[in-house]
Amino acid sequence: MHDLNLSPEEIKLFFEEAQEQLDIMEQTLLALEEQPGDGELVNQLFRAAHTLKGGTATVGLTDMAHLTHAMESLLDQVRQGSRELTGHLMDRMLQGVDVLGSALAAVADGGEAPGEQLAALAEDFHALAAGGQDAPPAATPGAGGADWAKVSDALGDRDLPVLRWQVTVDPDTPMASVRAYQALLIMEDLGEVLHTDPPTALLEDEGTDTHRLTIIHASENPPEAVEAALRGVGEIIDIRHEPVAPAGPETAAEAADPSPNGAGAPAGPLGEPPTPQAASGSGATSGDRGVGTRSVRVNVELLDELMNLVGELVVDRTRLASLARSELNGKQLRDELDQLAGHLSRITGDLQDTIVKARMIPVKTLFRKFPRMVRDLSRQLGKRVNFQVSGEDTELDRSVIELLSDPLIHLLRNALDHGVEPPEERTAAGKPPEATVRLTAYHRQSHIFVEVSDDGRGLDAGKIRRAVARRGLMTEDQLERLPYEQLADLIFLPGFSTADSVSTVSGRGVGMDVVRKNLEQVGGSITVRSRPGEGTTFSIQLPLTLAIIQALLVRIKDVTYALPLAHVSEVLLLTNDEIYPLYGRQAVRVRDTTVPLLNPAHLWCEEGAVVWAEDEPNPVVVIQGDMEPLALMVDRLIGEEEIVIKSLGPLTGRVGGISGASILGDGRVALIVDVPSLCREARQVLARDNFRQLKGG
Amino acid sequence: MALVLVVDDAQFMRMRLRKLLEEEGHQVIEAGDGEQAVEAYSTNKPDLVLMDITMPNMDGLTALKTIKSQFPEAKVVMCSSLGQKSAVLEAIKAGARDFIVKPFEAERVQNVVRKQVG
Amino acid sequence: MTELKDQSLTVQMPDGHTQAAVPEPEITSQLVLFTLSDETYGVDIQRVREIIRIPEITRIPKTPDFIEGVINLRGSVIPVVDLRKRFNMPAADQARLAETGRIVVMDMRDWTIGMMVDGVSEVLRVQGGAVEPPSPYIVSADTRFIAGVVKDGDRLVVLLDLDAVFFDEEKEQMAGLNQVEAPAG
Repeated sequence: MHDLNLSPEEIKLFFEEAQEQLDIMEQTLLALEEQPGDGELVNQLFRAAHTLKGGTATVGLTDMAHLTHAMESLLDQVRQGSRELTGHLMDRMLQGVDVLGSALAAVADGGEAPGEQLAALAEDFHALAAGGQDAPPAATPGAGGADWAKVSDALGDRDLPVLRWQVTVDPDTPMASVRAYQALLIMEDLGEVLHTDPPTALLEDEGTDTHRLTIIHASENPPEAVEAALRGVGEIIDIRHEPVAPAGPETAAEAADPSPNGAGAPAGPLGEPPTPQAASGSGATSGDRGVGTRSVRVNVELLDELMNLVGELVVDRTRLASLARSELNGKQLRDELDQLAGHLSRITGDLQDTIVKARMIPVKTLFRKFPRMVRDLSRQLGKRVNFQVSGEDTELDRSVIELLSDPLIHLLRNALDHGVEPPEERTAAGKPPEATVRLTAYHRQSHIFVEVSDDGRGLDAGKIRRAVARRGLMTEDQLERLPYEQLADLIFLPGFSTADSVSTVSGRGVGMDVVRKNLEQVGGSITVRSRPGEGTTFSIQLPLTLAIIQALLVRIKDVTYALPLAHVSEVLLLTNDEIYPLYGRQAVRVRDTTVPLLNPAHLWCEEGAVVWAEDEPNPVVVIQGDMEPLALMVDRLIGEEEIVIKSLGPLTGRVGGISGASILGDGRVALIVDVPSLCREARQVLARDNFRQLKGG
Repeated sequence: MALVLVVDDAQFMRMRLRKLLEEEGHQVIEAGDGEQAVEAYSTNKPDLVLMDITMPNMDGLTALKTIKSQFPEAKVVMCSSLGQKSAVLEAIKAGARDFIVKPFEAERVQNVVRKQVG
Repeated sequence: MTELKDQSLTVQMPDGHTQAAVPEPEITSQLVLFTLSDETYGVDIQRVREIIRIPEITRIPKTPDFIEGVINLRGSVIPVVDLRKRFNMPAADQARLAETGRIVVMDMRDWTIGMMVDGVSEVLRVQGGAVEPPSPYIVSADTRFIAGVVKDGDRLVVLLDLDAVFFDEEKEQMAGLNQVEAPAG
């Protein structure tokens, strides 16, 4: 591709447009599944393939062009009516789209397109077009498909137990992949290794950096013996195994493609790789596509506006320079500067707003991968799902969008795996066999809301109570007294999991505490509403822009803290007689509610000890996270300010109650308070102290 | 309890390992390069060898292979620095029982030794 | 004569994590030397971004003792680690610290972190072969923070394993957390 005389702009344009065509093809295929026979959709599909063929041929990606051409020929037959677009053919087309997508991504990364894979698939399509026979989707070589002949042989004929083992080496240990290799050697000694992921060749070649090994092993040796032998290898932190079901190719395919394992694939914040695998067993998966979004399309008008504003800045700069040279003094100078400062302030404000607008992109770009993911997943799980997406044009700041990706994938997978019931169960419960899963986005005031809802089983109160009690996070008593709504929120507790078995799809089933923590770190939040038997809705709330917020600055001890105004309800000045004792704690009356009073010393000990003045009014800020408000004592109120959020770098997420920092006008650092997290912690601490007091200890 | 052959061209290293092993009650003999290691093995038939990889005259990998060719049941544990992954892999393929990475912690060495000789 | 090549003393593993590397004998590296209570330590010059006097440090509540706080470094917020506390050494002489104390700003894989030290002395050129493993009797800092030692004349320079210095604590905490999450079956 680099032999041709193409400018970088042309190359970039090619990638963008090629990706667009692939997206169109995928979306159209999915739409066709709902409305087969829609002539216009078929035409659309054909045109996209045609355009893609042209583009790839022009830039010299001949293998890709050939495959696209083969697909185009088939589509031509369909649109002329000489071939039926069966479900099977659509699957094949989707497979083609996936393979092309991976190839495109590979080339975009500077690598080579997988020529063999492309050629093989092209041939399949040609054969189809010529012979008219439907061929089953062949497993692409080295793609993770086990040699199923061997497996069924072991299971059926020789009656050997076959287990799928997953061995995890401590990723921090040096040369973890060599440990994995040692584990593999042991397995080979103790039985027959039918399949490994990553493949043996990769392990033997020092090029890999995996620390997780999945092996399908047939052996007469009892699993305990095998496990004991594996433990002989140092640095192994986890060994687990489960039986491989002997039945047909569907389950076989599932067993061969275990939970998004991708040895060495980077784990998302949830601790597991976010891309799902398509059940067709093809090497390319739907989540792999996607040439990186390093560029953003910006409205030309916004750019014009930016130019204008910069122009005004230049004028101000000139004015400043001339003032510096001028003979003005004292009051006159101050007045001029004042005026200039005012003007600058307005201009920079406008500049900020305009740039924020320029960084906004519609959630569509994020949502577009979900229909495919939901479709593949529901097929794999045997569920019937009607997936509805709305509000795709809602715009968000780029950084926010990137942040939403993993949580949404997680929520959708949970909904499909745990929320939605299998069709029989639904019918038995009097529900339509097809479940509805909704993904919605909308603006409200200065926040974005993104919701994932399903009409499935709802959260199981019993399971939650048991899991929480078992972990000792709350007592049985406290749990009994909690209403269902509050029970639902418990799933966000750390270390919590209600999955009864290790699901091959969603891994452990939860990681909600991490999802919540990540969202709260940027001023967002997540809540859940559920009704047993009726369904569950997760609601994510995020500020429109992450970088700049309005905050109330306060002083506690000798550190300045910034309380995001979004979480500040009121500011009060209270005297001693306005405090009420309440169940061993202190509270204040705010309008007609009683709010617990919190001295930061409860959380931060000496570093947070605010001194209460007995005979003067004391500043108290009423803050609110997800639930009831708290009255926070502070030493001094400073004022409201718009601050720029700076990350805490490596300390991010490691400090309870602080989500970031900001640099104030005088150069000092202010700590930004993570109000929801602080409130939660405060409630726990106060409850504990309260508990202790009641017990008299 | 066991006779351990410590092979490393740095005397400092050998001294340190000797100290660790003797603390556990093992008996220690030393060799300063691969050639000496092969000779020491033939003469003494130790229960375990701790073999450094980078050494003059004959390196650890070659020594391992030589010893294994004459004494297939030999138990050898490689001592490697970071960045020698390919050598370690090759050693494992050639029959090394285990490996430790420098700089190592006393406990880890003792564990590995215990695993091999009981 | 073989060409002497400057090489980093730390190695970036494919998963992004950094580890100390003991370089091959022919390679030389440069170390920035600093002192902590009469002991000399060194870090790879390629990871040192800058060295500054100690500015105002904002303490963050409920962080481990050795995390002194954060500072404003030309518009960025950088955390600062007090190495003495990290290595469980007694506190420094405040007067001396005020004069010679410095913060060495380091570039770690994704983050920038500052280390508070008693004083920075010089840059030393070291040959890879001169690096030896540490003996617990020579230095007072925990050996897990040490990548190796180098003899320079009659003084011993201790090479730090920066990853361990900054990140080990987290791993210990995380290990604690993992206990809670026992597999549900």
